[in-house]
Amino acid sequence: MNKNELLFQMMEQPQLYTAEEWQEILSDEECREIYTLMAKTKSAFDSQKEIDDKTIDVEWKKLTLSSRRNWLRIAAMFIGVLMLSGITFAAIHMLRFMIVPKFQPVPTEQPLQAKPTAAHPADNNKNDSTIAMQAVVFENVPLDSIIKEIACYHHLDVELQNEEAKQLRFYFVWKQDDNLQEVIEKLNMFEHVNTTVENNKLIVK
Amino acid sequence: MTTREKNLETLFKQHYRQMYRLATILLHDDAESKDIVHDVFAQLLASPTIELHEQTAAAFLLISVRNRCLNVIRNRKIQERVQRLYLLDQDTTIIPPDGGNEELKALSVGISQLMPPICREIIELHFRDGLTFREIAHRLGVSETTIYKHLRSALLQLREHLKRN
Repeated sequence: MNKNELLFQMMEQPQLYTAEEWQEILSDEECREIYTLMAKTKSAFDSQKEIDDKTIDVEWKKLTLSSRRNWLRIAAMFIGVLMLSGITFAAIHMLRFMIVPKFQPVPTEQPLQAKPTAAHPADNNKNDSTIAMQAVVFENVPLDSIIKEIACYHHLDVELQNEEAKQLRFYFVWKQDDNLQEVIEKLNMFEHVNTTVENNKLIVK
Repeated sequence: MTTREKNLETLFKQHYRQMYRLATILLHDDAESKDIVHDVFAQLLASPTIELHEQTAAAFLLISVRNRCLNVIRNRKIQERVQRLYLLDQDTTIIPPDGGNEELKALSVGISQLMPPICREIIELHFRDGLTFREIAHRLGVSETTIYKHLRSALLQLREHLKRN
């Protein structure tokens, strides 16, 4: 058997031979030439294949479909990211809302008088608050409870001179980082409410 | 559909046959060749910065196809290359962008003139219809060695034919 025929035989089952064996036979000039001629003969048949218009249309549709699918995938990812950040944003806000305590009416037996009274000057207490921006919402709460809560926070005594006024119920948002003067001004904006601070006492007139 | 997409569609329909033909000449495989053309245009659709001009579009598209085919060829082991009848390394660097049109035409003529008829039959059964030499031998009722002899004779005739042209 000459080397051309050996080449044909090897080509019948190329996997049976190692890369080295292939390098060896293809380094022979004549074998190489025959192999290349075979590849070109195959190409000659390939080049006669006809492609009809329908195939081209189908291929173009596949292309636009897949590129649209890519856009959809990108859009879906974008929406996913948006949703995730939205959920995170909402979760943070819900948490923040939940740590704002709803005011519970103070039990009457709470020993307000036990609080230190003259320990601090009344107006400097802003810096004492440990939780910044804390707001207490009083919803339909009697004025005396509101006053007691605020006085307690600012280490003041309470004097209720107006019996009628202390039973009025209010909706009031108490920002704890407002200083005492600001809080009192806001309280006094209600009708029938007139509070002042005198001698470490929060007085409702 | 954007104007760019419309332009690409025109180019696609205009150049598909040529691009497919080049890919199939190099890869000898219908599905892989379609994939190559698909990939070239998919990349164009995805990158709006690549501008194609009418005069250079054909050359650009064919060179893209050729480079992608060569990547496919280079990524395969020698045994797989032989199995698929890919060109060898040295030959892949000298392929003209049209895939050597004239030479292939001459080869087709040469195949049709092969003598005796059994030579032509073997060439057609193997390279056109994809039968193995063993299957051809079985079908024609001769030994594999006889097939090899006729095959060799056929290829030598083709070589002579190409030299004359």
